[in-house]
Amino acid sequence: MKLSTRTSLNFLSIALFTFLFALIAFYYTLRTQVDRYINNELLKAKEAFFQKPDSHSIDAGFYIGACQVMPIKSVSTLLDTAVRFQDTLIFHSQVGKFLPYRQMKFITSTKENALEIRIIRPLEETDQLIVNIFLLMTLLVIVLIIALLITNKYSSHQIWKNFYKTLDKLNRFDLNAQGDLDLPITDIQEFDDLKSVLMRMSKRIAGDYLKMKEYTENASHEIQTPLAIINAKLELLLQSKNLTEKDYKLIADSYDASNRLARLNKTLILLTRIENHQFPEIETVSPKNIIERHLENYEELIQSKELELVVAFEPNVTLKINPYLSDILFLNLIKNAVRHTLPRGSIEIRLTNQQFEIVNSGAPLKVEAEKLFHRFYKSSDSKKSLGLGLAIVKKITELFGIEILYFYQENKHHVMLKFPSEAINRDE
Amino acid sequence: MKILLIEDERDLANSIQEYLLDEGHICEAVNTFADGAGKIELYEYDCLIVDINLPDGSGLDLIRLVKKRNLISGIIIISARISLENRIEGLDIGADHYLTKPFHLAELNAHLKSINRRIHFSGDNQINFNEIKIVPDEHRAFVKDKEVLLTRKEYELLVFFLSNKNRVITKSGIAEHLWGDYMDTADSFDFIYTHIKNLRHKLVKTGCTDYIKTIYGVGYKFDVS
Repeated sequence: MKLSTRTSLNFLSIALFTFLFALIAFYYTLRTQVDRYINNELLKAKEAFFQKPDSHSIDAGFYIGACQVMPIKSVSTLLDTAVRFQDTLIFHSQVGKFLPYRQMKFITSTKENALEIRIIRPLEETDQLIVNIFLLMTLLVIVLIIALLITNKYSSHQIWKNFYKTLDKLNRFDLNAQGDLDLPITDIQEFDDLKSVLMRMSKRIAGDYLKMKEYTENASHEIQTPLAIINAKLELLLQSKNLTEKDYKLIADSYDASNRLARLNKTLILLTRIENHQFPEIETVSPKNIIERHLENYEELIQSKELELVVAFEPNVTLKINPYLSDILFLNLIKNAVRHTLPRGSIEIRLTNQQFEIVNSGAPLKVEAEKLFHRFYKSSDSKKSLGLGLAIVKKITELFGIEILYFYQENKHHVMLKFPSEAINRDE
Repeated sequence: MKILLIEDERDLANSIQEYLLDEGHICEAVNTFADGAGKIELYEYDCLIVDINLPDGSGLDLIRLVKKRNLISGIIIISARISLENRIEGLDIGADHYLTKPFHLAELNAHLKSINRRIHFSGDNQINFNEIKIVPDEHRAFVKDKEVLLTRKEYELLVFFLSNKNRVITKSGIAEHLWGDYMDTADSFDFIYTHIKNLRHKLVKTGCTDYIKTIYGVGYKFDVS
């Protein structure tokens, strides 16, 4: 739930609750006031009634102001002399319905007997007034709530605008991208505090990250030298006379292992360098030339595995990309296809202006396709590979905004690169 | 050939020196930029093998120094930096080859041989060994003056063997020579075998002695003893 929605809801629920009670209280207060006023009026009517000299002979229907005297009844007792007020409904034959009245009832005595006198006053108008006032109040309250909600929404939108901008900037903040975190300037202290905290934090993280990257690269490079010494020594050792077959085997195994380590290290350096954006040069390259050159290198392997190779190039396809990385990109994909296709399988390569597709026959993957591009992912049957080739492919595609897709269809692995429009060269 | 090796890692320098001395070269090894610059000032060499990252300077500056005085014909850079810029810069200022550490000594040796041919047999840089003759400019090989039709890889393989006679060459050394840095060597072992089998077959059929010996589990040796 958004912050503004939450505050609006809170406000709304409290406001509705408060105003509901306030309206009820208001209604009853109003009612009481009106009743009191009418009672007074009735009491005044009573005084007027008694001021009349022949008051006891007054006929029913006699009006005193808005009040009206009801037919007088004789009662037997004089005991209850209190004045009583009550609301009542009286049938009006003219309009054919009951109408509300306030009635005052008291007992007075003459020489002969006790009389019950009732004076009534119509309530229709005052009731209407109360209803009207009440409705008006309700309307005012509703308008007020709506106005407050809108104001709240608008002002919080204004206030939080910078917060959302900050959030958006943070969201898009990439440690690998060059440049500091640039947050908007606000006139709200809390946001300014947040900004300075975030800036400080991002600077520290970026610094640590840079140090870590430098460390990784330096360490990898430093490893190359001792490896070079090991390799050179082993190669010299191999040239010794009188080595037994067992000696050769021991040396060769060590040599292979250190070579493997060296290759692994070189590949990791390459990955680090790609992540560090150390390949800034962009040139116009011809994927066709790159692919053909790599295929030439794999000619013997393809022949010896008796692979069926189908190649289809759209003419004059060019890409704006780093030449070195594009070389590695296509090489790794081709290498991967050649390695994993079983003998007498097939490889298809298709290149168009928008995309590159390499398809090879083979058994389905044993794990989820997402893992295919992870570092050190290996299919179980190729323990000789480093498991970094496709991780590098992934990194390169990410760097140049190339979309990479993998799917398995009709016993064939498809890897597809979709070139972004900015990499496609349309000048020619 | 007279070679100056400038490499700050003494262990590595010793191994390279030993290998090159075995090959019959004269090889001096120094460990610092200053010593290297001093040697270049005083003596003449056919070839310079230089590390880029020296404790007291850049190997690239040494190359510039050499090129300014126009003294040495062959320059090979050996560097732990797998950096494209370094490679391009090195080759731009006149180095012949750029080898990334760790490298195969056989590979270094092959490069030295090709530099050697360029220096000493300018114009007619054939490789002659017993009954084998190779014309590098035309990528052709002959046995007893009869041409042997070799594929490109077989040809490269033969030249590599001839550069490293009587040496045990590992399979990964051969693979890297033939397919470069980015071929996973393990994949190619099988066809190194195929290539060598075909090469031996073609050579022997043309009347050549079978020099290539298999060292089981390790690699091959072009045995001329």
